[in-house]
Amino acid sequence: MTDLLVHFILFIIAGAVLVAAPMLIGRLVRPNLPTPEKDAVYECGEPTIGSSYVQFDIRFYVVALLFIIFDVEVVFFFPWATVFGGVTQLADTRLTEAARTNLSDKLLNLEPGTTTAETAIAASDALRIAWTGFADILVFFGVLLVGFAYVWRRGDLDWVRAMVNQAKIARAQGRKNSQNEPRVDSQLAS
Amino acid sequence: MSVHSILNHVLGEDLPRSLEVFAPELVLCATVVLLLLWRMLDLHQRIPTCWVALFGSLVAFFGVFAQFMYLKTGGAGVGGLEFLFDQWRLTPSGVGEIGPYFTGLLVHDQFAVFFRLVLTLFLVLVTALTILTGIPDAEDGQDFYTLLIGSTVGMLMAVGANHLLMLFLSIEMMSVPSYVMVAFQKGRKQAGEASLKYVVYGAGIAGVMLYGISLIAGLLGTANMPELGERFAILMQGEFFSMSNTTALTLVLGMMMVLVGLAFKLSLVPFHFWCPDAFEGASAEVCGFLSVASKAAALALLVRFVLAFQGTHESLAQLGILFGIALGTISIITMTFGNLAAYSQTNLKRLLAYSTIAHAGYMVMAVSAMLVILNSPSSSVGVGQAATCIEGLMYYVAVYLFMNLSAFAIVALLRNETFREDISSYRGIISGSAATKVLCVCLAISFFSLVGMPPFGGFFAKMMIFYSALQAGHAHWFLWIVLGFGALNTVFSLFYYLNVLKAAFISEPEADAAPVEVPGMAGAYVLLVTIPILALGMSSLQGDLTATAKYVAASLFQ
Repeated sequence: MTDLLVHFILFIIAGAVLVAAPMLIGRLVRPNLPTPEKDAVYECGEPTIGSSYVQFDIRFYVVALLFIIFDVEVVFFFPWATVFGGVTQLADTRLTEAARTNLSDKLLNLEPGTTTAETAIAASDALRIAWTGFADILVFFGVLLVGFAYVWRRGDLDWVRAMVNQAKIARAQGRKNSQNEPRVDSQLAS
Repeated sequence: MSVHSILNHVLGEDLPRSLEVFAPELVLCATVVLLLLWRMLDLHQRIPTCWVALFGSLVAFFGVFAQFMYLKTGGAGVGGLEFLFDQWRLTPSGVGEIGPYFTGLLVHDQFAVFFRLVLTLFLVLVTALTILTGIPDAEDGQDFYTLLIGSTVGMLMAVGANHLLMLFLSIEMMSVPSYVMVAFQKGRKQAGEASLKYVVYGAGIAGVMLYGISLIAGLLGTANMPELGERFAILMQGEFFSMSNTTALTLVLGMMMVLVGLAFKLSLVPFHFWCPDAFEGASAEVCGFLSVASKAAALALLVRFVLAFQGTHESLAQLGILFGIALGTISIITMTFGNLAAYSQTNLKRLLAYSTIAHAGYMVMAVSAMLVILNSPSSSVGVGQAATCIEGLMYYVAVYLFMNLSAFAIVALLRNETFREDISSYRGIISGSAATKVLCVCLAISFFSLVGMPPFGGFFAKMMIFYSALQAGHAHWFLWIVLGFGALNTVFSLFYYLNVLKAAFISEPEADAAPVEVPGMAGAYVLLVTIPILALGMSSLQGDLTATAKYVAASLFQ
């Protein structure tokens, strides 16, 4: 306990000192010669134009969200692809024994030379894993695609969704008006 | 084990069994996909999406019901039950056998199935309520029900969590859709604010909980819940459990962090801040869902989590007593704070939010009593008494479902008429139409039951929990203090509930207010969810539910 506590306190002290010391040294050593260029906000060397506190269009968030969804999906795909690639190679019945043990080691993440002929993954087993994996990813990707199609259909991917909607409404109203027009005329006539 | 035998086990035995147990959840997942397709193909103009959601949740409910009865009868159902078993293709080696499934990530037992039954029943009732009140409009129905069902799937997984990863995943899965549901009323500033508060709070808590999980898993070398206690006992071999022992300290820290996450879902003080704000901003239907479903799931998860650290070793007993007393303290603070804060509320949804907080305190009392009883060195209490605690807890959850749903349904239905939710808008509504009178009477029943008045279901629920605390007092005197506070709080809570009833029944209506005319269907629905409160208090159903809860609780400690 005391051991842990001392470590903890030492850690905090060391952390605080290591941050404070360079700032203090800088403060004592640096000359104070302010110029407008030095006071300016650093933006990768570009001259600044206006304040950075601007409102972002909400549509950026939609794009960012969609990006994250597909990004995360790719993260899921990587481990799947490694295993799937490995087992499709192993599913080949024409593999030599050496190649099979070698690939099995790689797939099971073992030291090279650990698997023997008995413990190596057989072609039929590899095929089963491959088909199961294929079915898994099909369900996963299928559900994701349904969501994607839904978003697309609802018009959330249109950059100017509001205007698309307005255009649709205007078109629908235009059609309705053209149907209504004769009746309006007749009413007016009567 | 060779790859071949692992493959045979996973694909040949584990997967079919898992899919059989998991079938109701899969039905709900399919419903979500169907809802999106339904809207995409514009079928909602013929059959609104709400009916698809209701159908899907009903099917899932009957699936879980079949599983529950299959376990209870041992597969020897007759008549309609046999038909259900056949339809869901239940087998003795699948649903008939309790134990872990999905390679140990989830566990299938009577306790999990009971809570799944409660949750799916609640999903059906909430969906029916939203159809009545029309909260998601025809265009947005699929979005709302997707979130509602998605959140419920998370809860269904939570009650069967058998792995720390599943604990985290299921909590997130039930939280994330509820953040969106809180903000579902577009264009309402309050709703957006409530949702943001909820999200920020939830995100912080998720981080803390994940850190706790990583501490526990790192210390014990496994995240599989049934092994946690055993591993800790091995680590503590020959050592003395105290706060100066690094192993014990790390585990206590990790457990506390995980409990923070669960306390957030249960809205226990001091992690309750989101609750009144979220409830005020969300629509009453969503509040009902949050206050009952997510609480029931988190409670089951809490029981599972603390039961993971049970064993025969001395250090585990001390750990259990420590957390039993900690939960007891939290329970005292939560119920006292919830009840006192409810006094000054003028908005009925905020009032019910604080009432929810107070009730979470009562329910945690049972968990605290269970922990103390299980780990007590005295021989006067044992596993039998611990089962009584769980029995009380399950009875409470079952009654609480109807009480709170009835209260929130009334708030939602009256809001549709008066467009207000403050208590003064309830003044003199008894003078409205016949259906409004029914609503008022049902409000009185549900409130008296929430207080714990004798003839209603709430009384028996509270009595069972207080009884378990009384028993636990023999093991540790602290539980008697908790019990004392519980009894005092029951008296406190009477006044603010009565305040609302006074407005509805006795006060004169506001001068310019039109009489409230609630449609007849609304009255019928509220009556439907209120009758169980009465039935669970003064009919043979009370005995039935007690017997069922007893059977489930006993099976948990076998």
